[in-house]
Amino acid sequence: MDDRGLIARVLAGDATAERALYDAHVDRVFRLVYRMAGDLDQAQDYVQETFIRAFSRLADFRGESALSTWLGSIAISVTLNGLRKVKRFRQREVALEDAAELGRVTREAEPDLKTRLHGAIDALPPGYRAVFVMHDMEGYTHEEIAASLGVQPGTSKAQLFRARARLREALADFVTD
Amino acid sequence: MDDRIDDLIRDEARDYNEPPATPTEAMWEAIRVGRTEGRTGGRIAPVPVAVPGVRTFRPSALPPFRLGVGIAALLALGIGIGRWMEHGRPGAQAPTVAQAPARQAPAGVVDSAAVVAPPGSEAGRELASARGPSAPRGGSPAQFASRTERRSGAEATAYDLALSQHLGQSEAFLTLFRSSVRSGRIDPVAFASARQLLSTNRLLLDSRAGADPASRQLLQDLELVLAQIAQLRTSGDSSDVHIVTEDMDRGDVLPRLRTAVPAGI
Repeated sequence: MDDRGLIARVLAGDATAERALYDAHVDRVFRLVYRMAGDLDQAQDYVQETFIRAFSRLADFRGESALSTWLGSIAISVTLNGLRKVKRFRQREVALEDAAELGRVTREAEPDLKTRLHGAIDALPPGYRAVFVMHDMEGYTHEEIAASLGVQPGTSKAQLFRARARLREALADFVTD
Repeated sequence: MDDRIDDLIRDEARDYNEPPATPTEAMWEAIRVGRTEGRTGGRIAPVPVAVPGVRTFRPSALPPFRLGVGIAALLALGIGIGRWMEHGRPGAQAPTVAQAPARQAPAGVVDSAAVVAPPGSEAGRELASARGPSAPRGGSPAQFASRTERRSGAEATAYDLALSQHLGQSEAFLTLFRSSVRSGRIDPVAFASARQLLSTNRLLLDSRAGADPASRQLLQDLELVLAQIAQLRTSGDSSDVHIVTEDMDRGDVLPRLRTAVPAGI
C-alpha cells in the first residue's frame, strides 16, 4: 500500500496502519538521525520524538512533498533542536568562524586521516553538517534537503560547497603529503 | 585537486557515525507510550523548521546559572504581577467593596466582614466621597472581570514560559546525565546542576505552574530524579546511579519532558 493509503488509514484510527507507516520509514529516519547525533540513546529519543510529532500532525500533511521528505524535515528539526540544547548545556559552543580550526590544529595528536576528518565533520556548523550528511552520506537530493531544512535548493548546494571547502581545508596538509 | 580531496572525503566519511541496526521494537514501544501521554494531557508543540544560518535571540542560549536566575526572576515577576493586580494600582481603592458596619448587616444573612455596596447606598457614597474626583476609578464589575481575565492571562504566560524553560533545561541535563552514565564518567558539575534545577523545580511546584495536574505530576517525578542525582555525590555508590536511571526509565521522565517542552526552547 502506498503512503497516501496508509495515511488515510492512520487518520481513520487504524493502529496496524500506524505500525506499517512506521516500519516503512523508520530505517531511513534512524540512519539520518544517528549520523547527526552519533549516540544511540539520543538517536532513539529523537526518532521517537519525530514519529510522535508526525503522527500527531499527520492531518496537516498536505502531500505536497513525499511523506519521507516530510518525516525527514521533522527528524532534522527535532535532531538539530535536541543537539543544540545539549550543546548549550555543555557550554562548549564553538563560534562558527572557529569551527575549521578544530580540524586543523591537531595533526600531531590525531595522525589518522579518518579521525581528523570525523573531527572536522563534527566541527562543521550544524546546518552545513546536516547538508553534508544528508547529501554525501545518506544520498538525499538537494530538493529533498531543501524541503527538509526549509531552504531553497540553491542554498543547499551552497552549504554543501562550503562544508566541503571546510573539510578540504582541514585535510589539505594531509593530502598534499 | 579539489575533486581528488572530495572523493577522498566521501570515501573516508562513509563510516562517520555509522548507524547500528535500527532498534525498531524498542522505539515503537516508546512511541506508543509517548503518544498515549500526548493524548492524555501532554502538549505536542508545533515543530518550526530550523533555518541554518539564521540566528535569533533565545533566552535559553544563556549559560545554565544565568538561566536559573532568569527563571527565578520570571517567577518573581509572575508573582509580582499577580500581587499587584490583586491589590490594584498604588493609591487606588476597591470601588464597590466596603467594610460594612456590623449594625447595618442583617444578622444571620450577610457576612459582616465585607459587603458589596450597592450604588447609592451610604457605604457607596462614602467611598465615592473618599475617592474624590481625581482618584482613579476601579470601574464596573464587568471591567473588573475583564481586568481579572487579563491578569490571569499575563500570569499564565509568565508561568508557562518559566515552566517551559525549566523543563527544557532539565531535558538537556538528563540527556547528558544518561549519556555520561553509559560512558562511566559523571562530571562533578552534574551534581551542582541537579541541585540548581531542583531548586527551580521546587519553586515551580509551589507556584501556579504546579497547579495543572499534568504539569504537577511531571514536576514531582522530575523532582525525585533530580533529588536522587543531587544525592549521588555524597553516596558515591555506582548501584545508586543505576537506580536513578531505572527510575527515569520507569517513569518515562525524558519522553514526557520532550513531549511537554515546546520546540525551540
